Amino acid sequence: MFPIVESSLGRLIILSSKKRIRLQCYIGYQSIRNYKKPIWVPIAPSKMYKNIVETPLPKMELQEVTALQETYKLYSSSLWKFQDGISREHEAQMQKEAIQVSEEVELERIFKMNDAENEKVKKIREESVIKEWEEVEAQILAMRKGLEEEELIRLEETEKVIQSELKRLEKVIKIEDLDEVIDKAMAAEWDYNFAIDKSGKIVQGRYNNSIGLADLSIPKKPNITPIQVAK
Amino acid sequence: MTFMKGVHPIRRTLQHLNNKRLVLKPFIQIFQVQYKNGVPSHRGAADFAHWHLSQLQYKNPDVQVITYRGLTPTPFIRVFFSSGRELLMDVDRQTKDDIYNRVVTTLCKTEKELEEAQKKSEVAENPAHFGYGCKRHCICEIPGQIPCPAVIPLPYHMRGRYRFGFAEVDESKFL
Repeated sequence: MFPIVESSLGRLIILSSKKRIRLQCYIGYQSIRNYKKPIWVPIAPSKMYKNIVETPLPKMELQEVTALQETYKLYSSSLWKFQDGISREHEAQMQKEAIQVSEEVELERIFKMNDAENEKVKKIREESVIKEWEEVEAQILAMRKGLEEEELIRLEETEKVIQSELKRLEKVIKIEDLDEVIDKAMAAEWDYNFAIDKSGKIVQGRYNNSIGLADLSIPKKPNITPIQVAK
Repeated sequence: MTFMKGVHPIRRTLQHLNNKRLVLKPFIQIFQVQYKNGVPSHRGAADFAHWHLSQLQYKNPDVQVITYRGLTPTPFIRVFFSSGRELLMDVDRQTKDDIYNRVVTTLCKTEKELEEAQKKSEVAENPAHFGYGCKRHCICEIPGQIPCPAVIPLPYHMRGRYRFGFAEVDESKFL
């Protein structure tokens, strides 16, 4: 069914599948030279009661063979150990280099990522600094505006006070008019002589002549009575 | 209670300290945080130092973690590597969570690396394991198990060829 190629060492069985468009080739190798039965297959009857007699080697030969074998074992085990040590060192060196390489690669990646993040932070910082200064500036301007308004209000109030004072001071006697006012005051006598007795008689004037029953209502304007010459 | 010490004593609990994500890479030797107290733009760095530095130190006992306060106009994190190089991370006006995420993605081991490390430690540390890479190569080396059949042959009733009748016991050997 399948082509078989035989040789002294074994045989090659070339397996192919025709179902698929592309031909696939499987090669199986069976060894004839060192063939051993599987463990579950029983012993053949011809081999069952075989009496294997071992011929012992002579003592000298045995010693020689043992010595040779021991020497061979010693050399081969020392070679193996030496090779083992070299391969371990080599492996350790390779691992170290691999770690170093991977560390460098990793460091480069980290630095790259970090630089990108630092740029972002720098941008954010610049924008927020500008914003903060603008806010400070606006605050200062608002404060200044408020102070100016307060100053205006204060000026207006001061103006009002000044005006009211000026108005009040219009009636004040000035130095220029002092003589005139004195003359006027001297000319106009204020008569404090005024009394009303129980009977209702008013007594007023210097000479205290009672007028008689008079109107007891208090006059609205004070009487500036000129000096009455006695009749 | 004697264990409720300091501000936010939850930072002293094992649950808080065992934050797996803050395991730094093996080539990091020094982790330095520098910030100023009381400045709004330094708040994130201060919070990060307050909440996460204890976790960082717990998970990385061989790394030197230091903080400097009051010496810098802008906060930053500086990391020194075993090769001698240093890395500067600007954390001005960043929140605590932003800084944490940045440190985790930049400087910490990935989840895959952490899992591998955990598996390795499990395999190495479990004394009951045997096989390749373990202290005992075969189950026959474990006390209480049957000895290696290469050294001491198994009894006949444990060998398949005798159990299933493919061979018969040579009783003359026992006479």
